[in-house]
Amino acid sequence: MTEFRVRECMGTVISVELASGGSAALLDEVFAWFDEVDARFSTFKADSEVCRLDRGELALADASADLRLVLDRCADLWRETDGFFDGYATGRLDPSGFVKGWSVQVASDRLLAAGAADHCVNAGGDVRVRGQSPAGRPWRVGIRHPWNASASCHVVSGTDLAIATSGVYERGHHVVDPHTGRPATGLRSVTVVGPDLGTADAYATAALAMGSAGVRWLSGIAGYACVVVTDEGRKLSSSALSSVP
Amino acid sequence: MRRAVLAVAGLAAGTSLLVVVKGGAGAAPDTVAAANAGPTPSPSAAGAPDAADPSAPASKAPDAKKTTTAKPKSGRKNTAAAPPPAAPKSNKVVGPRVENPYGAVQVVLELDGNRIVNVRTLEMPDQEARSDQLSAQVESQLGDEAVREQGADLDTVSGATETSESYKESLRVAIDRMKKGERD
Repeated sequence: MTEFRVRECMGTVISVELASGGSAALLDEVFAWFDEVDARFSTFKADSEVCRLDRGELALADASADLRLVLDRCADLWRETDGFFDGYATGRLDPSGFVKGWSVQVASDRLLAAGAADHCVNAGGDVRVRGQSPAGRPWRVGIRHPWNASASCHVVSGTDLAIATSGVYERGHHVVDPHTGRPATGLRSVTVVGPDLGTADAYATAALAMGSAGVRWLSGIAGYACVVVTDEGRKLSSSALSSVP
Repeated sequence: MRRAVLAVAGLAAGTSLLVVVKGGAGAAPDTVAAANAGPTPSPSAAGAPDAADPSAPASKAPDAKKTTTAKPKSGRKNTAAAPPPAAPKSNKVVGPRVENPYGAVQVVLELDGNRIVNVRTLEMPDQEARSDQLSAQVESQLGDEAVREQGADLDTVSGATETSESYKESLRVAIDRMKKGERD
């Protein structure tokens, strides 16, 4: 019996589909986790742990294990991406670019451990799939077409994939190159596919901020593949990710 | 244009992992049309007829949709979806248009039965000037190797979404309406 639930949380829409081994109680647990993440990491909620830390009301030593883990990963990713992924890009602590993907990855790991081996979790376009879809085949994930919001431009299919997309199609070029302070141009949409969704999310954001150079940077990363659409309307994709018919 | 294309081709050629996917002969006009028309429902994603899409033209959005807030009563507690509606009229739900200092946001949920397969944001009038500029740029630089629309039988969609308060508000109302079985 397939279990499916969708809800607004963490400032976006989250859907969870359990194709096997699921239950309403398990869905309750997953969404309780997302509520916990929202309460702890929201930059919109003044009493969140992130906001209290940012205002200096909370000492790092007193922060939760999750927050310290997230800050550590953001620091690692800042180094890995030559500073193009920056948890302080907005002038204040804002780890959202990592937290959304990371929280979905944790949810998926917990679902697997709880026996729901076939599932799909999607939080605002960050997707983690495992096992098979209710149709009894690998999950089929579309990548949004940059110029047509209701169409896809590529299809990725698999039984164990994390898929994160960053794009500038909704507000034009608003992602700023942290080194120049100017909007990054060249890439319209960057999708990164690999084993870990938090990492994929951060890599996609970083590559978009790098502009055209981000394509070359992404291609040098082991374990992660990409689909990139340029401002000129060209699609570049890793050979490992040839679009599925 | 030629310089841009060559630059990208050079980049792709220099990285053996990457391949340039060439669009079919009919791909470019589709993409150009999509770029010019703004958000247009795609036949591949929308099975039902599409009588009242407020995105085209965006400036003629119904007045009823312009109210900034219509807060759902249920809030967080009632997480389970309502029983499926008997016979959904269409496969989408449109959220209200919510203003913010930079423009306005309005979301559309695209459904497969009671499942959300995509959430998209309608472009608003405030952004029209910039959209036109981008479209012209895209149009002038499209070649045979254009990105094209593809994909059927999708389980879900990966894409970038807004995280603004106005996005959340429009989304909240759209999901609330979906759970009540309403369709647009």
